[in-house]
Amino acid sequence: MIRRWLQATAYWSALVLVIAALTHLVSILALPYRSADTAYARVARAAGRRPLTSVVVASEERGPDQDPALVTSVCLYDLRQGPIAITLDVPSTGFAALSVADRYGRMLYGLTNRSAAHDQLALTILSSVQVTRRSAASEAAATDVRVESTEPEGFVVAQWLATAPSERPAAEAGVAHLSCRPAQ
Amino acid sequence: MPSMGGSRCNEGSVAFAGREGRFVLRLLKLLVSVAAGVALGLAATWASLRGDPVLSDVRSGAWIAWPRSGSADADPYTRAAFAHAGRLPLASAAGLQFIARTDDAGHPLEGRCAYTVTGPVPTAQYWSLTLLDPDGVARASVLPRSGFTSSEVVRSSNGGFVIAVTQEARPGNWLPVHGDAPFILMLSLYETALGTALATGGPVPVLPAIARTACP
Repeated sequence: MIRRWLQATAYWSALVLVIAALTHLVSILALPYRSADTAYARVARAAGRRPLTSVVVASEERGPDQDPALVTSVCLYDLRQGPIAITLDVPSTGFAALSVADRYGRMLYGLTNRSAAHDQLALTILSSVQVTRRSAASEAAATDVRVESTEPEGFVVAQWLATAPSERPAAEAGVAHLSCRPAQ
Repeated sequence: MPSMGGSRCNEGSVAFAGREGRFVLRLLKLLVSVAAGVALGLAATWASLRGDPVLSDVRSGAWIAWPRSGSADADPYTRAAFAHAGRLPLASAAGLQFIARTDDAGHPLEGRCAYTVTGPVPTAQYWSLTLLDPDGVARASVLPRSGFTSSEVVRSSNGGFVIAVTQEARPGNWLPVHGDAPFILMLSLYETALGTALATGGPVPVLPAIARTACP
């Protein structure tokens, strides 16, 4: 009798644990897709939800754990209308970076002014289909930095370190020139 | 005979009622198990999002970082925690950020206490030390400064530095604290190979020491 009771308890407990593990895994995996106040949501609010419009974002608007010395501008992209070309003029000294994230917060690519050619960072964001089409159509553009985004929507972040308060105006002017436009 | 037939019929009804009862009981147990499992799973998710993500974290003294948070192969727990907090990670190519919520002795950082932060800092083109409130927001509007960059910090003759983190003004590198409330420190390293090294299991470097010098 006790053995039967123990067997039944073990059976139902195992069932509870399996369901708990599945629920936990599914909810953790789904969270980036279901959260309301993600980094993308904040960036979209700051950019007025207008794609390809670059906006300088204050550190308080960028969410938690942001360095106020890192002057930042963002622009939203939507690849459903075609690939997007991004350029940012950067200083040859100091620190500036350009990064691309999809709308679910996956950081896709980043590069800094160390890898700039002629003091400019440039990259093209494409969907997987656009990458295949472009590879077949164009050999000439093979030297471009191409970033493949599996999600059609995302955002670009331009960052420029103001190493002292006196450098802030130059940094703000620098990131304000982040250019996001449809690629030719 | 009719009475015997009636008895058989009753036995059948009792057996059917017994089977039906067992079925209802099993169904109830199944429903309770599913509900308990879902509740337990969601509670585990909630608990895992309450603190800092623990999978793929790197710790050195009081400092903690998530080197993969700024790359496409961030683990699901780190991605979930960053998405839940609305936190934008620094791209791995740009740098790496460490957070400290305690001093080196493990005591939470509190505004009523005084601290010193002393080198060394791992190799990076630039670094900054920022004071944030526990929600990760810089109090730039209420404080004369909310951080130091490597270009601003006053160094001693041997190249080292000491930053005083206190409410009262101090000579030299003074990072002011607002009120008695808890706070966190963030060390950002820009243009460093450390993030890639740590993400691939490289050795964890020694980071600046956070010492409590006074606590009334």
